[in-house]
Amino acid sequence: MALAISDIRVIAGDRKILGPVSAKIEPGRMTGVIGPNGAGKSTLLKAISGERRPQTGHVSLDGDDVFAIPPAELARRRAVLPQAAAIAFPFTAFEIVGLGLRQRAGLTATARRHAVEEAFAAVDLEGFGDRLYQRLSGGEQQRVQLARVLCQIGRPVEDGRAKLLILDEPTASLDIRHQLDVLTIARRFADGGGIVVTVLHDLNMAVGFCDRLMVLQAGALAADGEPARLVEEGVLSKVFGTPMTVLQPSGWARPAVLPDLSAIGSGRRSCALPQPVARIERSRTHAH
Amino acid sequence: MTPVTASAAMARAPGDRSLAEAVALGLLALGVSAMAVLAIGIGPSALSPDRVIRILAAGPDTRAFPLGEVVIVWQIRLPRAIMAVLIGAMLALGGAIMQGLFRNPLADPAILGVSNGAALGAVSMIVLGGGALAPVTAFLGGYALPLAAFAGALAATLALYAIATRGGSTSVATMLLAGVALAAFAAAIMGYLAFLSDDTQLRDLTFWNLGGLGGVTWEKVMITGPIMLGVIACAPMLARGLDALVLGEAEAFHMGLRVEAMKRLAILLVAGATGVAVAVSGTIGFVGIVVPHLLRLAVGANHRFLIPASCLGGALLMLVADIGARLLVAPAELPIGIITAAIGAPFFLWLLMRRRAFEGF
Repeated sequence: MALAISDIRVIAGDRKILGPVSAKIEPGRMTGVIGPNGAGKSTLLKAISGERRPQTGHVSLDGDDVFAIPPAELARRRAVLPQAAAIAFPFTAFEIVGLGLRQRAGLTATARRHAVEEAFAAVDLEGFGDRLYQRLSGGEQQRVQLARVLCQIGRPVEDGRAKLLILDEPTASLDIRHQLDVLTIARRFADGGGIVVTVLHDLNMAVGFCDRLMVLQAGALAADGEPARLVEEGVLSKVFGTPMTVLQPSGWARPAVLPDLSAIGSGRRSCALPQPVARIERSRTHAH
Repeated sequence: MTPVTASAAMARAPGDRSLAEAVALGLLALGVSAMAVLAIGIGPSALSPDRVIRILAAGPDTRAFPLGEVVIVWQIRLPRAIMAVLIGAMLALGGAIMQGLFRNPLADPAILGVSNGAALGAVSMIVLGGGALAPVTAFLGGYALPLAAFAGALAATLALYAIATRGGSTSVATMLLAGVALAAFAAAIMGYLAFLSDDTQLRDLTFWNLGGLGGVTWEKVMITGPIMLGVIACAPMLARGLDALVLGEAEAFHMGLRVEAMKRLAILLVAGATGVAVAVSGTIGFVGIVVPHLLRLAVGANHRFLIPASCLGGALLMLVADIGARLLVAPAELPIGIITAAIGAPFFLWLLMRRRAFEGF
């Protein structure tokens, strides 16, 4: 079984935000959701997570309508990593991560402690337990949240059922090494038989880590398929409205993409250059 | 269990403050008991703590002590101390829950107009109780005033929540300003009701308005005590929900919480705590701000700790304030709200400036 999205539409007021979108997402695979700003990526995640009911269509997890599963049970079958947010009260990192274990009954104090410490180790934050969450950097907060989510979701498959891990821009405030760490954690969850759906902005991370990319544009599914194929077909340049250079580094299984930066720093004029940059360039030329 | 595994089980992970929380709760409970004994001993005819304890242990019908002392302890000062404990618990609990609900340490029933809403309910009952609302008063008896105050507090909390919270996020500025407006609006209607009232009602109003814990009797304790104990008993049900809500409404749902049901219970409890406290002792400010904030600062923000600790901390502060109210201008008595405001208002301003310095609002 799997995560099935069938013909969902989300409408806010008289504006269509999303849809119609249909997709069947299999366990053991990592699915990336990409697209320009305002394409409906977050809305799609909200519909999948059971947070926002689409006006039409269904979302089901292993055949169960996600909007009919009681919240407590749903929390044991899917977890969501939010975009980083500030909190108003002085909780320690340990306490925040411990919140992830609240729906898991029957754990001894020692088991809880071990689960939390394992999660801290997974996100490279050993020894951060007694730090106040509010005092951590944005990237550290993001990793504490991931540790909490890992505590909540547990193993990728339990009782023969695949679990669903939803990530909303998990790499947004992270340095490059921790971006790789976090996506590797997600990758392993998928390899372990779980379902991973993640919004990503970094196209190379998306192409490199995901088995499948769902490309949204203006609320609709513009493309859906294997990353390498989408890159070769030039889908990304078209959807993002900017030319991309495709590279194939030797020894890489998948291609890399770069935005076209040829006009920048070369002294060549480009009508695509924003005005202020062009002006700076001119004043430099005069100084010489 | 061998000593090694026992100590391993006792050891706590760094950042796990459950041991400190348990110790703090124990100390607070001890402090409340000790302060209650002191409060019962202090007054025009002073009794040593030791004597207070022996009179309390001997029971209300004892002949072993002078009748005067037994009456003072059992009939005058004990109900007052119990009321101080319960009202203090209500005020601090109302603050703690409201701060959790609005995810903001500046939220407080007294500052955001919920207390004024409750006061409007109480004043309406006093002024209209003999006229328009006479059948209600006759039916509810002693419960009429607390119930009216509860209704007023509930209306104010719901209005505030509806105005300040949109799509799961609360704007601090909107919340504070809406609170100011709500308080002013309730005050305006109360002024009009006072203008309408006759001499007897005016006397009742003034008497009630003075607030404080003067004239607390066993009868009052018997009527309002069970309501307050009910609120205290329900509050821990919110602990898990308020903890999850710290991360945001969507996140709380993702963690398996029935967010709407939890918020409804929180609003009901804030209204219940504030309503009954206002009905008994008028509007007493700042306890709900000071107590939870100090507890978070000193021990931790976990609501499983914060909720019972606020009850105890509020009780402690109220007992101290009541002793102060009785001692400072003896033999007269200061309204207790003057003391809590004198402590709490500067604290609130400090909190505002600190937040501005560190978080830029």
